[in-house]
Amino acid sequence: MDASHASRASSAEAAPGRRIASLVATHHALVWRSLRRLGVWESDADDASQRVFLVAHRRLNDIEPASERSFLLQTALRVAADFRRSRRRQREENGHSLPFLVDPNPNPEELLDKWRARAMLDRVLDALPRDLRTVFVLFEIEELTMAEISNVVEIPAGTVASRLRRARAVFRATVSQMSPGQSIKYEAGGKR
Amino acid sequence: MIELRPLLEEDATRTEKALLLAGRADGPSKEATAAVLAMLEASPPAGPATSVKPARLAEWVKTAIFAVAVCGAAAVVYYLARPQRAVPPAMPVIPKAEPAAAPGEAPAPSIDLVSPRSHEGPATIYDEEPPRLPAREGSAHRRRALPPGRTREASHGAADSPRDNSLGDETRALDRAREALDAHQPSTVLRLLDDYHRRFPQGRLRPEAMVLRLAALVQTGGHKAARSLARQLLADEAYQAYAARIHSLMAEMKP
Repeated sequence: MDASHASRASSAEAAPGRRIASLVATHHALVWRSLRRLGVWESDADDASQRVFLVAHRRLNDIEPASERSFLLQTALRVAADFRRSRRRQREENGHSLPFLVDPNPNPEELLDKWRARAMLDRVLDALPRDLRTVFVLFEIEELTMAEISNVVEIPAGTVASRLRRARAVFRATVSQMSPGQSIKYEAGGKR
Repeated sequence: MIELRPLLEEDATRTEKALLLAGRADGPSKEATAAVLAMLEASPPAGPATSVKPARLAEWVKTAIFAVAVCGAAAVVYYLARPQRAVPPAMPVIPKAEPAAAPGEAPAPSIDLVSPRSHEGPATIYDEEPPRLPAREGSAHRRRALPPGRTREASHGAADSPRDNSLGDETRALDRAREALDAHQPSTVLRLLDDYHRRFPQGRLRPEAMVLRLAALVQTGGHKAARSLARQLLADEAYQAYAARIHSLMAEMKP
């Protein structure tokens, strides 16, 4: 094998590595956040996101460059469903819920606000039926377009719109019930 | 499709906005992202591109087609080169003339013919009386002329050369016999039919040849031989298509 051939071979082997690294750098936050908002516990979110990218890594050659985000989100939906089932079984077996892990943030006041806001958001989202929750999270939090959601969830765009309207109604009703007169000071800031 | 706008850009309350902003701002730690990258580096690389699969499949298909073509060609070569199957002599032996017919119906000659159905072997047609005709000189001479160690079957197989295998050759041979029959030359017909049987021991037009032979026998006036042959032909299912013609020929014979 000559030098040029060896160079081409090594670059070909390196290409998938570069691509998966780029995928992680670009979409890891999206995947992790989606998993959390879709019901994966914070203690499981890192493992779940690893699983999503592991699937992507194994099927890297099947993923079109233009549909990387859709593929990752579709995989995240399935992985989230798996983790929810697993935790539900565990909860049923243990008879109680596992507590959220405490965020090791050095600022206790900010930590409290963020923690309270996210905890409340999770409780509100828990009140949503699964199909409405998925559409709501992808649209309102991950800021996907309705066409993208239609592609990811594989439902018609009209169904996306109707689910989103119903999800908003439930979300607003739940928020108003959970925080009558309560104000959350949280403003968008840096990540943890 | 009407594109809805996010709640944060519409009339969301402060609490709703705070919750949605908290959700958007959430994310993994840098350590978590590094852990994912480390895990992927340790995991086995992705398999070959699926785009290669169709090319590999096409290669397999080409190979399979080539193999089938080679096998087919070998089968054709074997079929063409296989030795011709030896066939028992089927040429009917007919006396050149029937001199004994005049005084009072000489004994009919015995006639051998091969049934046109398959390779069941020659069907011998016997007359009511056993053949008492003297052996033909030419026939004996031909038997003696065969090289040592060579059977008559082999001789007939060799005579059935590829040149004579075509249906066109058979048709032409029988056409000549039929023309001779139309010209009322029964001895010529019998000779031409002898030639036909010699050239085409497994000829596909053998039933037609046998019916022509029957017609020639009728013309020669050898009624006993003709009746004997007609009975044998009618008894053979393979000649059912010729039954009307055979009956017609028998009707031509004067009692």
